[in-house]
Amino acid sequence: MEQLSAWFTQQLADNSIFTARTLGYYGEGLVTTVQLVFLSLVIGLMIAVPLSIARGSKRKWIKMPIFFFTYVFRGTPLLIQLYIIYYGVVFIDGIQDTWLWVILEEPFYPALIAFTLNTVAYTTEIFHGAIKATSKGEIEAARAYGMSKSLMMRRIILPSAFRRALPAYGNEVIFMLHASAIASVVTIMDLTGAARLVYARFYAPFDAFLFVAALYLCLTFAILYLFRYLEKRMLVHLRPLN
Amino acid sequence: MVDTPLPLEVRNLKKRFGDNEVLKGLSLQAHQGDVITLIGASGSGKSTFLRCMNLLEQPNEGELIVHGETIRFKETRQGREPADWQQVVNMRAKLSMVFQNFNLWAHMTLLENVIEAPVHVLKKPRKEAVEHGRALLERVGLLDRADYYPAQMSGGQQQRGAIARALAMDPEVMLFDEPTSALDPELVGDVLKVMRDLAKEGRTMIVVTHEMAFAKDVSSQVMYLHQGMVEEAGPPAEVLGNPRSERLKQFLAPKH
Repeated sequence: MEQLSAWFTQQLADNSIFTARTLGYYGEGLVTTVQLVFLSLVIGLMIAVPLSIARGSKRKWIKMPIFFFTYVFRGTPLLIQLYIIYYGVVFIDGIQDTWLWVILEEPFYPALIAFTLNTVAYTTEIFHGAIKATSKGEIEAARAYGMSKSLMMRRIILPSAFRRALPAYGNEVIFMLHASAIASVVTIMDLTGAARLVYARFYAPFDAFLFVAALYLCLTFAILYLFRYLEKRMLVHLRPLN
Repeated sequence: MVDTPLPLEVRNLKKRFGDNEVLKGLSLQAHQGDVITLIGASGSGKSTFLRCMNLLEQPNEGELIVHGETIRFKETRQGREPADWQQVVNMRAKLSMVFQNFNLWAHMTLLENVIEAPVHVLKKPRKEAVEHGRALLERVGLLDRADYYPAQMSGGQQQRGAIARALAMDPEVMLFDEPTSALDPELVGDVLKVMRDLAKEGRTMIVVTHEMAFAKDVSSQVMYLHQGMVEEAGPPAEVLGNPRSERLKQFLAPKH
């Protein structure tokens, strides 16, 4: 590690901006961004799967609240959602005396909550669409072979729907990565936050933001690669033999 | 001889879609080893009749007795429903169905399709199911396609695979819903050959079909349906060889 930073320092000897120190900001920002996006995606996925099943329920009182939730969170800007959760919760009477405040005081958790709710809304709709598109004939075959509703969901509908949803969900992951840039407006030192700090300190917008753009591109590339790999493995059944 | 219960018996089955009564009281008795073919013009209700037998469609009236067990129904506001879904699930495991459009599960390989219901519905040990499944695939001539996905096979191969899937359940009765109607003419023969072999080994089968040659050679009983009623029924030699009603004569007349 030290060798590496020594090498960096040498490489960057001529410039005054990208010192080991500012690179440290970017490094910390990278960790924060990855944490924020990864956690919100994982939690979001766990919530979205049951919601997307319930979203297709025949019962109005089950599906309507879920549709209302996804409609609201897809229908308003993420930035506004973050503002409401970060600045708004302070004004709830007595919240500062409860254990919740320990969590909500930090900007990280309100951002995590906002991002999670937002990705839950989109992911629920993606999965719901994929579930709805399951071939009627395959469902009929499952019924005809004595599968119960839950077994059919587990063995036929979800495996088939997740595969179909994979490309759209990959887009959602990239979208979340880029949307996470707005975490910086509530003082979180994510990648964009680090870039803003460097920009403010050196008044060098190109250096600061081009560098961070390159980092985002690298992350996107990793995500694309992961999903390409997953699609290759999971979507074999849709590819004709050559 | 020990009196064993009939594999399948249907009594006075009626089905309405809205005000339109599509099945007007149909009965059927399948003895062990019977091959009953249902023929009739489209819209005569033959497919609906078949789909009522494993309750993919809910009949409005009538009795369904599978291997001596009467399926219980209850009246609800939405209409008549099975009283005990577990009973339906058990019953469906005894009647396996082959569909017009194959309906293999697209995300599974052929072998996975074949062992899916035995493993997860009948709770058969996986190893045993795989062995049985491979033997069945060999029987329908598809062992070399075991690891292919449905989309990678021709229609005829898919349908033979679907028959292997149906056989894997060790069913009391096999229901065939126009199994060759979605196939290219040159692929029909392979599927029919498999079905003839099944009939020969004494499988109880109920077949909705347009293949008159198959009905004539293979079936023990032919039922000609017209507008939800049985117009003529009996041994194929009688019904197909010597039709009495004008309508059946016309139906059987060569159309070209």
